[in-house]
Amino acid sequence: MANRDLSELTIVEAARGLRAGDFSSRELTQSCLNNIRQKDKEIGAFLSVFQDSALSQADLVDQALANRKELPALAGIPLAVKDNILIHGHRCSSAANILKSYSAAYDATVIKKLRDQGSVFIGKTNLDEFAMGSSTENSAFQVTRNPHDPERVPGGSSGGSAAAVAAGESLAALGSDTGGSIRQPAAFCGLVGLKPTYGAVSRYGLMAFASSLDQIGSLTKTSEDSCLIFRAIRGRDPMDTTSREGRFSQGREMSKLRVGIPQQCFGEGISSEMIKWMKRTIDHLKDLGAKTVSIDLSGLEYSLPIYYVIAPAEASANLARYDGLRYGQAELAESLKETYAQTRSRGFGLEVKRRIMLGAYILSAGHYDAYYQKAHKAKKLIQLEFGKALQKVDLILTPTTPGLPFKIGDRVDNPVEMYLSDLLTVSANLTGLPSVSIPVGREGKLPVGMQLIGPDFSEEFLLRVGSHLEWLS
Amino acid sequence: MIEFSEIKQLAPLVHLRLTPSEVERLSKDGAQILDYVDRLKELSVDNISIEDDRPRVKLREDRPVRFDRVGELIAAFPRKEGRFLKVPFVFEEQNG
Repeated sequence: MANRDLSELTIVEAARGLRAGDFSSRELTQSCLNNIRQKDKEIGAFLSVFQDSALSQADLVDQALANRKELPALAGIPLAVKDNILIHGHRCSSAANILKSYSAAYDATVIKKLRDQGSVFIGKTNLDEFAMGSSTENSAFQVTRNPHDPERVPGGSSGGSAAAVAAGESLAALGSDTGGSIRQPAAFCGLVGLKPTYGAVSRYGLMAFASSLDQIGSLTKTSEDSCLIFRAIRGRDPMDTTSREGRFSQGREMSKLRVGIPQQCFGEGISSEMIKWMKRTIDHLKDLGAKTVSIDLSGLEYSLPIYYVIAPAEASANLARYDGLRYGQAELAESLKETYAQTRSRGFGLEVKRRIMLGAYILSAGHYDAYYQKAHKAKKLIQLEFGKALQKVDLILTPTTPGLPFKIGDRVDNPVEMYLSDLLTVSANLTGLPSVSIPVGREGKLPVGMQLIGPDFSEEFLLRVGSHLEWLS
Repeated sequence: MIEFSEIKQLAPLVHLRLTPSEVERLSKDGAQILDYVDRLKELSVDNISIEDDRPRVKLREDRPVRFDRVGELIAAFPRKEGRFLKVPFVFEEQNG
C-alpha cells in the first residue's frame, strides 16, 4: 500500500486499509487534496474545497480508530458533493449567480446520514446551473473538463462530481439525476453512476429542479462502492413525503437471469461504438449464463419529448422561489416586480431562462392540454410499457448514452442536440425505476457505459449484475 | 411555434426581463424544442386516464417543530431591519 497513491483506492479498499492501520484518514484525505491542488486548475471539478474541515473530520475518525471503536463503512472516506445538495455552513450555489452568496442553513438528509457515518466532505462540485444540462458547460462559474480527455465534456449535470472521482480528487461523489445527470457523466468518465428508485433517497436539502423526477445518487469507481453509499443514504424521511421504505430485491442469480434488450437500441441515433459495446456486453452476459430476450420498447422514442415537457414545466414552478428577497443575490429596485425581474434576469443563465420560458409556455392557457396533459398521459404509457417488459425480464440493458463524450463547445448552440444526450436515460426518471450506468470498456481513451434498469427497489440486484460487467476489456 | 409576441407576454409572468437578443434566441430555440416535442402528437393517449393517479406520498404529522437556526436564515436576508425581512412595498399605488 505504501507505493500506491491512496486516492486510487476504492471505498472498500480504503475502508479495509484504515481498519488495518495501513494509513490514516488524514493521509487518505490529504492524497485527494493534493490531487485537487495539482489537477483541478485544468479539470475544474470543484467550486469549493473544504481543506480545513475535511482534515478535521478525518482526524476525528483517526481518533476513533485509534480508540479501537467500530465504525460504519464510510467512516473516514473522502466524498465530493454536487453543489445543489446543502451542507450546513457552506456555500451552495447550484452553479448559479443568483445563489453565489447563499450559505446553507441546514444539512440535506443525505448529508446528515453520511455525517453520522463519519464521512469526510472534501468539497462541492460543479454542475450545470440548477442541474439543467448534459455537459457542465452551463455553470455560471466554470467549465469542467473530462479527465480522460480535457478537450471533451465530463457530461452533466453532475459533471463536477464525475470529474472529481475520475481525476482521483475524491474517492466517490454524490450527484443528482433528473433525466440522466448521474448516469450520463458516469458513462463519460468511466464510473458507476446510480440513480435510485424514485423515493428511495430523500430529496430534502436537494435544490429542486423537477420534483417528480429528481433523485440523489452516487458516482463511484465500482458497483461495490455504490452499494455502500446507497445503503447509507436510502430510507424514508419525514421531511420528504415522496420518500418511502422499499422492499429491496436481490433478484436472480446470474445463471437464471433474463435480460431484456430493446430493439430500439440498435436503431437510429445510436452510434456504432455503442452498438458494438452493447453486443460485447450481451455476449459477456450470455457467457455468465444469462438469457437475453428481445423486447419492444416503442415508447422509448417519445421519452425525451415527454421529459422536455414535464421537466421545464416543473422547473418553472420550482425556480419561482428565487426572487432576491429572502436569500441569494438581490438586485434591489424601487418596486417589488422590478426587484424580481432584475434579480432573476441577472441571476439566471441562458439555459435556465430557456427552460423557465418553455415551462411557462407549456403551462399557459391554450397550450396546457396539448403539451402538459398530453405528456402526462404519454408518461403513463411509458410506465405501462416498462412494467409489462419487466414482467418478462429481470432487468433491461441499454447503452447509457447514444455516443461517446463530445467536445467542449460542440453542442452549446444547439439545445435539441444537447438534449439528445439523455435519449436513453430519461425513461428511468419518467418511470421512477432504478438505473445504473456501468463502465464496460473504452474506445481509445474514452470510457463507454452500459445502463441497467430494473424494477422498483432493485438497486442492489442491478449493482450485483453490474459488478460482472465492469471493464470487460 | 413560439412567436416573438408570446415570449414578450410570458416573460413578465415568470418575472424575467429579457434583452432583445435573448427574446430572439429564446424564440428560435423554443421553436426548435417544440418542433421536437411535437412528435408526441403521433401518440394516441385517448384510452389513458390520469385522473385517479395520485402521488404516492405519506404525509407527516401536522405538528410544529422548532427550527434552531432561525438566526442563520435571518442573516441570509438581503435587506433586513432587526429580525425583520425588508422588502419593497408590496401593494402598488393605485391612480385615481
